[in-house]
Amino acid sequence: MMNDAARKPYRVLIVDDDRDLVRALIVRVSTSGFDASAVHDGRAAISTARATLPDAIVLDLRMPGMSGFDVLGELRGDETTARIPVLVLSANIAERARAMALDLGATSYMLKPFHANTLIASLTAIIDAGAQK
Amino acid sequence: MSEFGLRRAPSPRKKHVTRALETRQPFKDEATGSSGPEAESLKPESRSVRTTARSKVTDMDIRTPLKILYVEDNKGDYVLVREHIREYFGSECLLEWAANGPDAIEAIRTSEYDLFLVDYQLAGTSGLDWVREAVVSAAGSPWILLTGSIQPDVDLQALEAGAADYLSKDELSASLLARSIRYSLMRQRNLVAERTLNEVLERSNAELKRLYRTAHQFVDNVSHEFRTPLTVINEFASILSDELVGPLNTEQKNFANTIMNRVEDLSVMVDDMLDMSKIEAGMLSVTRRKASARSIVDKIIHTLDRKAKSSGVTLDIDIPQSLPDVFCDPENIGRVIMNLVVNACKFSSEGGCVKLWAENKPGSSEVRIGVSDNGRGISADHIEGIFDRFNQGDGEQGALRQGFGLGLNIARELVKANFGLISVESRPGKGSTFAFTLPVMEPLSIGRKFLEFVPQLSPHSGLVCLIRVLDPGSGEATAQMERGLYAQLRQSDVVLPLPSGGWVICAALVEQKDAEAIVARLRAVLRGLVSAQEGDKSSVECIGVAALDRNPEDFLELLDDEIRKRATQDSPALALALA
Repeated sequence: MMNDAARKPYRVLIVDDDRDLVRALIVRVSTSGFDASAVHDGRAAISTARATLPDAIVLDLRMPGMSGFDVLGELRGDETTARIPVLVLSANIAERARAMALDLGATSYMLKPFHANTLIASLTAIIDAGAQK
Repeated sequence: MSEFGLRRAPSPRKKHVTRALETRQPFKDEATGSSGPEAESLKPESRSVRTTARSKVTDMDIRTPLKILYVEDNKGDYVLVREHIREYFGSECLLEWAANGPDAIEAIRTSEYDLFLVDYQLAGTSGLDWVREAVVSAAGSPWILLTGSIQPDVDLQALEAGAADYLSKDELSASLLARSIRYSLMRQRNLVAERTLNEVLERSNAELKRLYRTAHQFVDNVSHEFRTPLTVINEFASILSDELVGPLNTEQKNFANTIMNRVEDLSVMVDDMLDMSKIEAGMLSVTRRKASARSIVDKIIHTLDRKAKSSGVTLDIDIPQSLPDVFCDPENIGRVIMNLVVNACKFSSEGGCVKLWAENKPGSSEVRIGVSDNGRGISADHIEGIFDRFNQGDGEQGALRQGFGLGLNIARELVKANFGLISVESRPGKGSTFAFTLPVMEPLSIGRKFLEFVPQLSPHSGLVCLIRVLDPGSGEATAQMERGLYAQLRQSDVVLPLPSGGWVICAALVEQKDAEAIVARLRAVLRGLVSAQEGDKSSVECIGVAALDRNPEDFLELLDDEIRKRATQDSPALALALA
């Protein structure tokens, strides 16, 4: 997945407190042509997002300390990070969690367990849509 | 509870009774002679003589002697009442007398009474005035109002003030007074019993609700806790199988695929468990919206393909692009399709074919989605009750099935929640077809379906309001409006933009009594949204609110009429669309 202008891969920040899942996601996302990096809590997610301005963020909701909802709120409240596409990847099946995440500015919501192809397709779609704006 | 009322435990303040009474002249043994017996009976030790027994006179399980306080400023009246009471109750009733309000209040404060007799005209003041404060609030025992003569409205006033009965002294007799006393006591006993029972019921109800919430929360948590490790297992197996970290030989690849398949089974079971708990609780999350059969299938196609492949079955998908959009919750329906396809794969022999199809017959307002297989089929015996819970069939068929046996039951419930019906046709040896219907995305037919399903979906009544948004602006404004309306309604409700773009139908399941408040909230939401968009509060209007009472047909007619009437008046285009 190459950025045409810079000929550099898109950078994806993965935020999840489950380190096993993060390892799997890094393999999956990297081998699909993205430049993947990861952090394991909400605080680090916000500081890394501000510092590196990734092309997309994959965000878990239930994390100790700062939840994914809080992260979304802060990202969207800050002009520098407000436009970064965020794909929420959560095990929370409740419709209200989806609605809340979308209301807070999530670009897309995907349930765990997910299918790898669907994840990569979704990630590509939100980055493309973001690039067109 | 069979004892009369709920008595307070004897309180220490009783020892002051005698002293208090001694200061009140009128009490001094007017009831039983010039000295002694009554004062005697008021001593603490004599109080203990009062026992619970079945009184011959009152014919009730009550504590005797009864203790009654008569508040009366006319001594003659008091003597008369005392005689009546003595005649009827004899020693089973103890009458005390207070000649004015303050004395009565003091007596109530220091002693317990089973009943009060209250004179209406007490030293120029209305007995009702102080009774309300003193007797009602402090004592909790019933009281009977006595008046000199029948006075219009006093009976009603007395009953409103909480009197158990109302008697005229002119017509008073021993038996009438006794009957009134007995009835009042009986009624009080029933009231207390009822109140206690209500309290018990309320407590149990609150406890049940708490347990129910806990159980529900537990299932939610279990589901969440299962999903996370399942995701990790699935993802690593998938990384291996896709050879992202190095090549695998055929056997290794098969093993990785088997892991993924069984993880998928486990995920379905977790979903089933969660769905079942939600269906049982009436908390199934249904967000119906515009969707296409094609897009629903596209979302789950990877999993469907893998399932078919692992069963050695060919999956043939025939869903024409030309099908009209349907109105449903795409997640719900995706689960139904998944359930049906997984079932069909299980029932097919290796090399079999499973077909997933959809059709819209000309003139029909429904899309039919089905799954057919050429497997062993289901015998007539097994078809009966196949959509019921835990029906897994038996023998060889039962052994083939996996999971909790909830799949078809959940499918039926999910389809019902989306205004559809599911059915099965099967011929042993030839194969089976499971198919269900969904309404096409057309407001009137959805309105009809909504009303048809109201009695099955909820004990609530329906409510429909037509909301007219003049100049709704961009598509974004309309979408925002829809979201705002959804947020105000339960998720099982319907919010439909009509084809003209400026109209919305809300069909909600609400309690009749809440209808007005909900409409007011909807109006407020619309006003807020539209004014944010247009800066003009007058551009939104909520009209044609109708609540479904008992007869869906009447309601439907009203809905049709309203839409057509408004349509012709305001939007020829809409009228055309509805024609």
